[in-house]
Amino acid sequence: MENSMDYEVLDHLIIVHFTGEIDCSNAPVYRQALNDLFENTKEDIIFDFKNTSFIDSSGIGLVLGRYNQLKFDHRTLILTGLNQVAYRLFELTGLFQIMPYYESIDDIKEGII
Amino acid sequence: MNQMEVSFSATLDNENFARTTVGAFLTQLNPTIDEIIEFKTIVSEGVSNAIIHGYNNNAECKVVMKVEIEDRTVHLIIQDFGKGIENLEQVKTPFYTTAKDLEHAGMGITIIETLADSFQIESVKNIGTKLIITKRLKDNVG
Repeated sequence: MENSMDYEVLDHLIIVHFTGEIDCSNAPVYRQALNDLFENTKEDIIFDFKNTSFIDSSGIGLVLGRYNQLKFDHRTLILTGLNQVAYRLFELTGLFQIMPYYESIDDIKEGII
Repeated sequence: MNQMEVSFSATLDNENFARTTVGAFLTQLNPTIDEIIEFKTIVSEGVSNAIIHGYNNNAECKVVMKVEIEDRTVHLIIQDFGKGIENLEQVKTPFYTTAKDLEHAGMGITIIETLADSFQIESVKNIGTKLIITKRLKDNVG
């Protein structure tokens, strides 16, 4: 599976889909692309990891960094679709204490839209 | 006892190679998908530490990785011959990082500790660092 990131706009939300793996080799590339995206938009953001097979601590750093960037603009970051191991690591890091997590995009739609 | 050992250039481009290789070697034990992801995560954290902190991304240096299988217990060693760690207690502290500007979460060692059954760091300044990780796979069902 090739590593890629793309996004779509859905009812005042931007959903960013991460495909493949997130590690030290591509996290800085995603960081730059997301910085550009956030600077040119004002919507709240969903990070969708449903098609992400692997995330290490550089992915956690990426999420935490983007959370801080969005928080500065009073925007919300919502996470969804993590595999079991990644979920445990995000939990360990305390990320769910500062940002909401939903099992699926459908759950987000029911929950907040 | 079944063993393998690889040595590869200290570049982050090899991180995927390192974790995929370990995953492939462990396939013979019929691990669960989660167990494979756990091992891959441990390798990723250990190898990126060796490359970034041990060698400062100098691709002329080599990272050595050894895996030993004993029954369903896996011993993994990740070794660099780089600058070493001065304060071992500090690196074990969650969120401790020397590279905040690069958005390193400072969670690598904590993640390895969480996923491994046992974990040791041996490090000597200017000699290098060795991570010794042991993790037992669940017994095969059926």
